[in-house]
Amino acid sequence: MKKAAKFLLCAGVMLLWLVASACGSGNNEDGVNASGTNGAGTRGATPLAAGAGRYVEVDITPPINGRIMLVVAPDGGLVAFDEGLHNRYDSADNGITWVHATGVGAADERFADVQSVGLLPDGRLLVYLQEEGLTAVSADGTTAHFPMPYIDAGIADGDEFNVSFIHVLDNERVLLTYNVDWIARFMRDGGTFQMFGEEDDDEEEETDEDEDGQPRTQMRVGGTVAAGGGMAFGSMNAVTAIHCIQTGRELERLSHTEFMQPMGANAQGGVYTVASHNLVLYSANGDVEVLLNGTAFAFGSPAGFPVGVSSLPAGGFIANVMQPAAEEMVSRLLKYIWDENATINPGKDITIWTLEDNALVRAAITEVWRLYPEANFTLEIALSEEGGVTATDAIRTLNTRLLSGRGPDVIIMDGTPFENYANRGMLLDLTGRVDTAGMYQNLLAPFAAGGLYVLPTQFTVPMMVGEASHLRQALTPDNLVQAIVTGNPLPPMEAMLAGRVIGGAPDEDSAFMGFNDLDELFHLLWIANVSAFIHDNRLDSNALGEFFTALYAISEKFGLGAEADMMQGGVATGVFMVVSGGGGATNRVNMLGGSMTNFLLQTAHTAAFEAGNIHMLSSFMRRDNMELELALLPGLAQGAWVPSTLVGISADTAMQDFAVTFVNAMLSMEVQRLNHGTGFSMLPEATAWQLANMNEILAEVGMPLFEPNLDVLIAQLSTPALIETTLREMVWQTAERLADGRLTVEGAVAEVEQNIRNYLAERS
Amino acid sequence: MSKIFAITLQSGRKYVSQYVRRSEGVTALAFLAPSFAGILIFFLIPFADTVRRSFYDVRGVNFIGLQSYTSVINNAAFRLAATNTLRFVAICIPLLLLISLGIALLIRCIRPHNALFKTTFLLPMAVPVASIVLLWQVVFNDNGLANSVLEFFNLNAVNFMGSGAAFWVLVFTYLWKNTGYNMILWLAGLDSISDTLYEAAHVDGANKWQSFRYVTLPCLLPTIGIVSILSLLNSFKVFREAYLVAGAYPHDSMYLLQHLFNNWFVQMDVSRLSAAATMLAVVLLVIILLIRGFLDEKD
Repeated sequence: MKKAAKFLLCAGVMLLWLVASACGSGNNEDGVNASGTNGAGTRGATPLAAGAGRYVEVDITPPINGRIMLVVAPDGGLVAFDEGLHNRYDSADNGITWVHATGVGAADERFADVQSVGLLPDGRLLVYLQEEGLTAVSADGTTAHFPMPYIDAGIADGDEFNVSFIHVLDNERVLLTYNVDWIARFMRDGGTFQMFGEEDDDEEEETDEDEDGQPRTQMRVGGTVAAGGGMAFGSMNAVTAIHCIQTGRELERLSHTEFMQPMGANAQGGVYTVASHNLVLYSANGDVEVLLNGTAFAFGSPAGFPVGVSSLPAGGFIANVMQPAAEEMVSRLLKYIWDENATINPGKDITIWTLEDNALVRAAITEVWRLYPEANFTLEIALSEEGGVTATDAIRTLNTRLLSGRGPDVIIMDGTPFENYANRGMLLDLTGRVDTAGMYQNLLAPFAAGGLYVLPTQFTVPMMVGEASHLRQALTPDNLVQAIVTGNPLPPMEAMLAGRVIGGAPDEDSAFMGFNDLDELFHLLWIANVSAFIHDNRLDSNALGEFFTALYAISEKFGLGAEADMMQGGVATGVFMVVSGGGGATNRVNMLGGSMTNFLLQTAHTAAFEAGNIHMLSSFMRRDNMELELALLPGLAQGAWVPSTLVGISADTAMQDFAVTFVNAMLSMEVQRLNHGTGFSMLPEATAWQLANMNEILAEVGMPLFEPNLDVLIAQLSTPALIETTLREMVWQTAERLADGRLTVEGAVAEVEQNIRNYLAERS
Repeated sequence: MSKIFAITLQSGRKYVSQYVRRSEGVTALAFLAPSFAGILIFFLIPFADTVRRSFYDVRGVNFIGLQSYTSVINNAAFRLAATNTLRFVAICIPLLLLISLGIALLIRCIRPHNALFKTTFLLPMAVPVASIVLLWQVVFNDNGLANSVLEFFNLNAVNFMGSGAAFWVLVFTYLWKNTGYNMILWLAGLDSISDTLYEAAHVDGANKWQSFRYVTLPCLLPTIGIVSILSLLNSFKVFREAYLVAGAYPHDSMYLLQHLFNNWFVQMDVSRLSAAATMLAVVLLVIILLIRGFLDEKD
């Protein structure tokens, strides 16, 4: 009996062991997600079994070509207005059909600047009119002043209010987001930054009574506001709280790490917001639910941005998303209803792996999803914002999955050893499968030799900008170094910070080209030269010596060694530039490199930079009374360029056809013409479209057209830069020691020879 | 009748004896099964797959014969890594055995007041690798503690991690970390030697060296085998420190086989990685068998 018990115990332990082992082996893939990949872990986008249900997206946009103001009436009816309230569309069936009516603004220009519309319980509209205040508007166009003492008093004092959000609560109480000529206040207060009327922190509420004696409460908060069963306030210091509408008391502080903009609220007091392209619902009890994965719905397209979410009384919600149209951004109303019976086509369910988030990939997902609503995408971003995973860790995990035959279907190769994948048969030959006819053939050629396993879908180019006379001084790498070294030094940092050189140093005092930090200098020289000193798995020591000589000479000129980096005097220098995605992309904020900063501050005649954004290029080339030109940055590698958003398809994928469809979408005009801000398009047609689109905008505002010689420059590109990060890091460490004087050029060459010997030998 | 009974009883005993032996065997197997399952799942099957992959291309589809093996043998990085690993093992294992044995003997001399010393020598094992790495970076950085000391004595600074000194830093790390563990193994071995043997040797007029040479060492032979094999296997774990301190491509002198394996895996060079791993496993197996054979012979 005892033996039997022991045996059973033993067998039980063994069973547990095996179960644990099985779980452990299964954890491999799950672990990837846990350790940083951003897989679709949401109700809306998780690969679902047939019948498990999902949100279904329906475009219910009424025939309004422009921005739409949407109001959901208490009875569930939808009311949509165009800008200026020229037209009104009503829908009683959740947007399936719309009934048109002439808007009150058709005959009244006072409504031209209305930004938001509320719906009063009696059916009148509530809008804000400049110099008049809140105004109730009847269907026949008659208006009546809607008293709001604080605003009325402000208008009487000459304040200019800007009301961006109106939401009518019960009992005629109104929730507003407004600011009061804050720019003037900012200037007047000598730097005290105040927004949205936050005049007095102690005075949070003002209560008065309306005509019927009902209390009307006004609370001042910062940021945007949404209202539902409770109220959610976003503030500028990244604190968002849900307040009780009746008392104004704070109910819950939402826990979030990044800035959160409330997009709308539901009847239960939950607030909709957008985080990492996903639509997220923060509930009043603190629960957080990802409703829509941005990779799987048009909502998350990087080409657009949501401006509001309205909850539907019957369930579901409507997202008001600004998306690019032919010439401008227009609203699309996207309705999302949970469908228990919605299924996913198992033949159109692919996983896309990328080391870092990529706007073009997201745009391609949106595009394919538009064409195949039954498809499902899982976008895995290996290096998540939460961190904790290095690129090498992520690649190691990817390799493990590829070897086990459970790898992603599509791989974005940026930052990976893509040549190894291609050489070892891990990738599908895309020759004949992907339409490459419309691409820059000179850029495609280096990747097409012996099979097209990896395909760049964007690229950047090391370039120079300046007047032709200056650019002619730097036609070769030696000339460039000579011109910089013999040119003027940059003005002292103190002078720049004191603003004495803003607007330009005298022409004769300007440097030829100026750098503020070694990293930027190294990067630009690296991409322009690396393919000359490392090629065919060999190191050309002479070319490396020339590279280091140039680096050292320029570094010495500007004191870029350890003692003088860009944080001179403890203040970072640089220019931030916000680039509008004209014709397409999400706005991007870029901090320009020191070289471009010096050029824009007119303390240098020319600038070197990595070009990949036509809109930024246009900004760089705008200088009064000067004819600026572009040129390739001279380097040892002839016609150097940097391939990016490299895509390949796993040779083991079971979704070969759909993966090819996806890659074709990445190369489609619909995706390529968008300005993702991360590289030039691989399609000449898309580049031309971007230029034409931008010039239309420039023409509208009366600015000179932008007509760069891009085609000529791109035609000269022939050598893709080696983008292996390991090698770059090894050479960079030596470059730092060279710049701060710990090594001579000869010593640096010897050190690199020594350090990368094993790197090269491993690959032989 | 009694004869029949006797025969029956005898055969019954035999049957019972066989049954007991068989059931003991089953019980033993049942107890071994969980461990064996673990070894099978986590070591033997993956190793078999590694051997298989060494004869196939990266995707494991096309048979390529010995191509990976010849490529590995002709690879300069492999030769350097193998040489460094061999050099590391050849220097570290004897040093570790001698130092830890010496410390164990010293500590044994001062018993029963040796608990503090035992704990102290074991402490490096309790220090997390990340902390060790941080410490090493502080000490052996170009501007680190070690160079500060050298400069204090007007000696030239040494680029510890970028020169041949890196190898000795690694040796020191290994010895520092593993001496305590080996010391405990030695102490266990020493404690298993009966005091009567020393008393007999003392009666026979043996001095301390003779007691050590003719009593301690022969009795420690089984322990030597175990300690040697464990030290050999532990020597491969020093890669963690080497990798975290100096990255995937350290100075030539501390570029070990594990660096190469790690890099080949990242580069998806799985066929050559499998071939090299198989070769290493065979070499290790031969070494372990040699050690055991040698010790069995001595025994």
